[in-house]
Amino acid sequence: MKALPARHYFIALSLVGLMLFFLLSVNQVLRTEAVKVAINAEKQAAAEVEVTRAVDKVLDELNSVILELTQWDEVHQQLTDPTYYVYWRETRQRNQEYLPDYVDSFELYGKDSQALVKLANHPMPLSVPDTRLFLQADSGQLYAFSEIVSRTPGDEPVGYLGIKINFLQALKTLNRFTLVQTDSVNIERADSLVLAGDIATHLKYQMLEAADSSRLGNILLKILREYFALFAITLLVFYLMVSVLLIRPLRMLNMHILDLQKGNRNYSETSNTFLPTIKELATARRSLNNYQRELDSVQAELDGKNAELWDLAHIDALTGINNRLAFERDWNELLHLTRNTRLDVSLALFDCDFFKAINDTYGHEAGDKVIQSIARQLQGVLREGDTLYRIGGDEFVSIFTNCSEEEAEVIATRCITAVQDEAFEQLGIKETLKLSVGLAHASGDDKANISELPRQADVAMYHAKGSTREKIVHYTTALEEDAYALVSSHITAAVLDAIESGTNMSMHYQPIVSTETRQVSHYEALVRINDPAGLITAADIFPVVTRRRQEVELDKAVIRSVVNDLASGRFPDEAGVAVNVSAAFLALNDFCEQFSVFVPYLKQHPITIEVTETNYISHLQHASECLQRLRENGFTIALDDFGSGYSSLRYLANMPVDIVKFDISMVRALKTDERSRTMIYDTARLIHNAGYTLVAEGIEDEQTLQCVLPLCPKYLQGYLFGNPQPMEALC
Amino acid sequence: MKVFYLLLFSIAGVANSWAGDVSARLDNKVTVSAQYLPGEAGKEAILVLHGFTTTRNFSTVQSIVAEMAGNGYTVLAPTLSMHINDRRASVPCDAIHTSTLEDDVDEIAFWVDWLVEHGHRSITLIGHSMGSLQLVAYASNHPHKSVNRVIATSLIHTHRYTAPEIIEKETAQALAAAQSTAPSIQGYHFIFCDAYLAPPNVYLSYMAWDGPRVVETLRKTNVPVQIIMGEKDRRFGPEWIALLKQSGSELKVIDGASHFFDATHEFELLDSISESLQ
Repeated sequence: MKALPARHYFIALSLVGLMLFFLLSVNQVLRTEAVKVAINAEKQAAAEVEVTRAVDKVLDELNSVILELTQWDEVHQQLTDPTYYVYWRETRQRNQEYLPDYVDSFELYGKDSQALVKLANHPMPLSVPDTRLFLQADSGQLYAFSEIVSRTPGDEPVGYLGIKINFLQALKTLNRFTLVQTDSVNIERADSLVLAGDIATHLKYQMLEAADSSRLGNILLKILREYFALFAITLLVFYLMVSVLLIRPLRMLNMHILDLQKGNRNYSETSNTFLPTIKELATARRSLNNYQRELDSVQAELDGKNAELWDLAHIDALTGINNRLAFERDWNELLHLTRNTRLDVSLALFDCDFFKAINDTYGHEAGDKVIQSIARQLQGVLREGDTLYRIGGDEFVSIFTNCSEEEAEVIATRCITAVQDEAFEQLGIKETLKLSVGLAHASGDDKANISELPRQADVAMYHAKGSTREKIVHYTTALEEDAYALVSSHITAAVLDAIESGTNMSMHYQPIVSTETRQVSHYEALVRINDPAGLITAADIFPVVTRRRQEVELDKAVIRSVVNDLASGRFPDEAGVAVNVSAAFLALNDFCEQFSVFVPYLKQHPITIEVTETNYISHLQHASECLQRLRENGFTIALDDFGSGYSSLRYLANMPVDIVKFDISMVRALKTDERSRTMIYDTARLIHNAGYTLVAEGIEDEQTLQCVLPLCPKYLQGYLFGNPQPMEALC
Repeated sequence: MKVFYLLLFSIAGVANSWAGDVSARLDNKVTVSAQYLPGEAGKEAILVLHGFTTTRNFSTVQSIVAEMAGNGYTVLAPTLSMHINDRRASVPCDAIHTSTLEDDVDEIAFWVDWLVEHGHRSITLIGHSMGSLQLVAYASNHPHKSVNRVIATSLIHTHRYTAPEIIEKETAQALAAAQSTAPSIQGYHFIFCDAYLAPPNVYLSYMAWDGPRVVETLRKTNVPVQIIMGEKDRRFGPEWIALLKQSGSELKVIDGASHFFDATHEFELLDSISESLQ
């Protein structure tokens, strides 16, 4: 959820509060209106009762007046002797001492119901009407007639009394209304004559409740206004409190945090204001400062560690020069730089020949010192500003900027010379160490090729490595073909897929014949890979395997394929099989166990394990033990490519091998000069004398055969005796 | 409750009487009533008469009635009708007064006869104020032979001593009005009334009894009249008591007493009456 400023929440809260207040107010008004309606209804009913009671009171009072009059001595006097009746009535009607104000007139009637005296414009009926009590609506006068009982018990009524009162005056005089507006009481004129029992229903009036209800409503509105004012003031005070005590400190705390993030280390405990501060926020600020101090401390420590790690990551621990990671970083920077800058760049890739053998022969400690020495020598002859990187065990690389091809070769030559001149004897190493250098160059006009320089230098170095004389090789497109296997992704994929799945792996077998009988003694198994584009030979397979460090996997695949061929039963009877193994395979702890699959076939097909001198030397102790165990188990061990590298008779004396195979280079050397021939013959004699079986390989023609025969090899191998062929072709 | 049925005079009908009260209808169709309290046998009967416009319920009258009844006398206290049927209340001044003094005397005679009819042969008449005057008038004009004494308390005459010129004027007017064939009602200054409404003959019947006539009547009457006056009774002038002394009647003046013998003078009045009766 998106974070909002505190003010927005406060405004939202205020709006909600106002809405609730508004709803409550509306609810209160509606409820008040309902109460007013109910009150009005009750008041209406009460007013009707009040009016009815008022009418009853008038009638009661009227009865009292009538009773008093009918018992009045003077009335009886007038009924007895009405001589002065008119005078008497006039004086008595005028005299308020005897009659209430609301009495308009009265009249005495004789027993015959006729007025004692009949005058014109008589204010009262001349005779007693049948209706003794009625209201004349037009005039608003209430007429009442009553018998005058004789004072002599048992006698008939002595006459009648008639009285006329101003009803509304009597009503308002005798009653004090609380629910009805007194002045509003009036008589409906619908009927001219209203009987006593119907008088109340013929009155119209206005109630006082309207004023009461209005006052109630006004009181409510006043209360709501006061509540609203109180609510607004409370809200304002609350806002000020929140703003001063919470929002402002939070904002300042936030600014403080931002300052800290920006690196402004102000560790003050207060916000430098005279306004009050909340203790918890001050504590939070103090804690934050403490936390920031600790973070700074940890950050400083981490920076130190990072710098250390950076050094460890980019500096080679052994030599103290930059490592592969540093090279990749600098190379990428260079690529970035050359996008916009014209720059001649050369890349030199250095590799120490036979360093592995040195390392294994003289021990890792000596090997490490050799590497350190080489690094020193190289750094000493590089140009000022050039950087040397160690990118592998015995591999170094340097980038030469603003450097022509010629200058690069000069530098490379200087490097080779420096290493060759180094006195490694001090380390107990008697052999001369050589460097192989691959150079790749890109001019400033050839920016597209700059990124290809590492690969090109690798190709060139690979060729230099394979040459005993040309130790500095410039990359040319001609090398590209040779390096096809290295760079062809198609071949790489085919090789790797064959190694992994075992499919398309095809073993070719080259015969090794007995010198004496020229019969095939056994076959050397050579790996091939079937591909739709054509058969992939060892020349393309091994560079890929070597660069991809797939030697062990390849050897295992070869063993499986050979076993499959042997198990097929189609392999020539009694013929043995020679299998080549790499140095990496030889280094396996379970190296011996890898060959247990051949045990069932040993009697019918003797198995020879061929190891190169270099591979053997790489793992001298372990290889010796393993090969000895294999020999004891019926396997034959052959030292392959003898004479192609640092062949050392000292090693050979201790090697648990049965066969020594002269490398084709030694065979060819027989044709060169007498001296070489003599040395080779002597070597062969020594081998024979040591009890080893000699095999000459690389015999491609009769002339070569004649040169080899004086060596007295027991077995011969070469195109002269047969090319490598699939098993099906052997039969 | 004891009920009485009376047959009075030739026109008298049946009258009812409640315990202590008797009534009768006169021939003018007016019913009259009286308080009747039978006394001890052998003791004389006493008729107690109230003053001007009042009734037998007037306080002074009731004191006398109670005292006399308490002393074993038979007491009859009538209320003069003033031509009002079964009159029960005092008649205000501005009521129409149609009863003459002679009519009053006739009713007194009626009640005296009533006592006689009921076996009372010794009758004392006690009056107060106008009642005393009316009894004097009765006693002077052929009273019943059973009447042996009149005790007149606060005896008055009818002429006010204040504003004699008004009295003279109104009397003249009444005399003139009385000559009319249809005399009208007029207001007069009479006794304590400033607007005494009455026909002229009624007014004149009372106005005939001025002070000298009363004194003269007292001198001439055969029935002994004992007069009891309050010393402070100045209603008819300071000379009135002195004039009464000239009447030859026994006059007793109670010091400090007013016209109504109120307060402690009431007992003195009653004692005086009792002494007179002995």
